[in-house]
Parts: sequence; C-alpha cells; structure tokens
Amino acid sequence: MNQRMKILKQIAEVADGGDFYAKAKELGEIASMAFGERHRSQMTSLENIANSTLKVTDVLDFIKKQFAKSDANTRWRKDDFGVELKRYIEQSLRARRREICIPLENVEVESVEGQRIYLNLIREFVRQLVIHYEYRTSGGEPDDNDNGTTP
Amino acid sequence: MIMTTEQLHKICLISDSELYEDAVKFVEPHRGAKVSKAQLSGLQNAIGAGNSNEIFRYINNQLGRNTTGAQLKNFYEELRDYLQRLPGKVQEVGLVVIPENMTRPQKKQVQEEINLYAYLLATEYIQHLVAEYDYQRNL
Repeated sequence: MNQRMKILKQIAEVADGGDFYAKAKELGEIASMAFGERHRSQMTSLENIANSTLKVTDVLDFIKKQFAKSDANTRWRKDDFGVELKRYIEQSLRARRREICIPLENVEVESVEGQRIYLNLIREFVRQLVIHYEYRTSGGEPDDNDNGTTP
Repeated sequence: MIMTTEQLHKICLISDSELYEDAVKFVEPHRGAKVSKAQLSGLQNAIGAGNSNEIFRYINNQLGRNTTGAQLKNFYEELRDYLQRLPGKVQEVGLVVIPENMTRPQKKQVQEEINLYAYLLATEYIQHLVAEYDYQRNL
C-alpha cells in the first residue's frame, strides 16, 4: 500500500473511532437548535470553507468571527457551540494528526503533508457534524439508545 | 512575478503555525487596549490595499491621534514592530532566494519580491489577530 493510501486509511479509521462520531453528533445536535432551518447558510459556509481552504486557520478564524457576531446564547454561542468546535479542532483533531503522522515515514507533523492530514480530519468532522445537523433539522428523531459511542 | 506552488505551501504552513500562534499570544496582553470594532475593521481594510504601505499608514495614523490612549498606543507600536520584522522572516524561511553578486536591477527586483511576500505574511497575521481579538473580547 502506498503512502497516500495509508494516510487515507488512517484518516478513515480515526473518523470511525474514538469520540469522533459522538462529538460530531453532539455538536450537530446543538447546531440544529442553534441555527435551525433559518440560519442554514452558517453550516453551508462552514462546510465550504473547510472543503476549499489550504489552511486550518481559515476554519478557526471563521469560527471565531461567527462567534463574535452572535448574540448571547444564540447561534455560535448557543451552548458554547463555537467554543467547543474550536476546542475540538485545536486539541483533539490536532492530536489525531500527530498520531497519524508519527508512524509514517518522511511525514513530519509540522509539514505540508501534516497540514493536509489535519485539514482532511477537519473536513471529515465537519461533514459528519453537518449531516447530523441536517438530519435533526429535517425532523429526524434522536437515537434514544445512543450511548455516545461509534455505531 | 509568479508564485510557485512551493512558495504558496510555505506561506500556508507559516500562517498555520508561527503567525497564528504569534497572533493569539499577541492579543492576550493587549485586551486592555480595548481596540474597537471600527479599528479592527480599519486594520482589516488596510490589508486589502495590495501592499504594506497602507497598513503602516493606518497604524501610524492611529498612533498620531490625540485620542489614542497609552495601552492602545502600545498595541499599535508592538503591532508595527512585528510587521516590520516580516521582511526578515521572508528571507529566514527561504521564501525568496537571494543570489550573490546581484546587479542593481536584480537587487531592486529581489527587494520588491521580499516586500511582496512580507505583505502576504502581514495579511495572514492581521487576519488571525483580528479574529482572535474579536473572539476574546466576546468570550
């Protein structure tokens, strides 16, 4: 298996394990309450930025700016949605990036490849978060048996 | 002048590491400066000019105002110091390669390239700084 395939496999494994799915679901749930149908464009913008940028900090700066624009306990401030999303990206996903990079040959954590891995983790996380948001906003029921673990 | 893919990747990497960390660190001790929303917008607008001159002009204008208090003056002075060090950073990280024994036109061209890349780094830094300042103020 070549290096690129190894990296994609590792990213898929991270996205399927640990608290990744549960956290995306938790934040997607908050997002559905915070933005509802009316502010759908906020989620679309987040997804667009994550998918198109070459820099992790474009996503972080976007979150900070949207947080600053929101009124108390609404939208990006609802149940600390913005703070939690930023924290998860800066701490958990950053740590996952390190775990993926270290066993790989010739891939330093602070390199262009390391940055690409970090961005792919963010894209996958945001994708899952937005799916949960869409599901709940369109009337999908929460899973009563949810124990917060990977399906 | 055409930017290579390698240079673009280098700028993105520096922006995501050093410049972001420096901007976050810069904000905390300057929260007391109470930089207004309008001033943050002014900084943001200044980076749209396409060169560093407008950024320095904006900062110097703010410093020259009688109404600017000591803490705010300190904010702008330290920001100006940081931005003035960016041409050095451009050379340090190898964004522009400086050939030996340059002719005068070559020197001029290299200096223009250094100024351009320093401006690009400045836009990254200011964007991080404005986002962080706005975020911390609203926490």
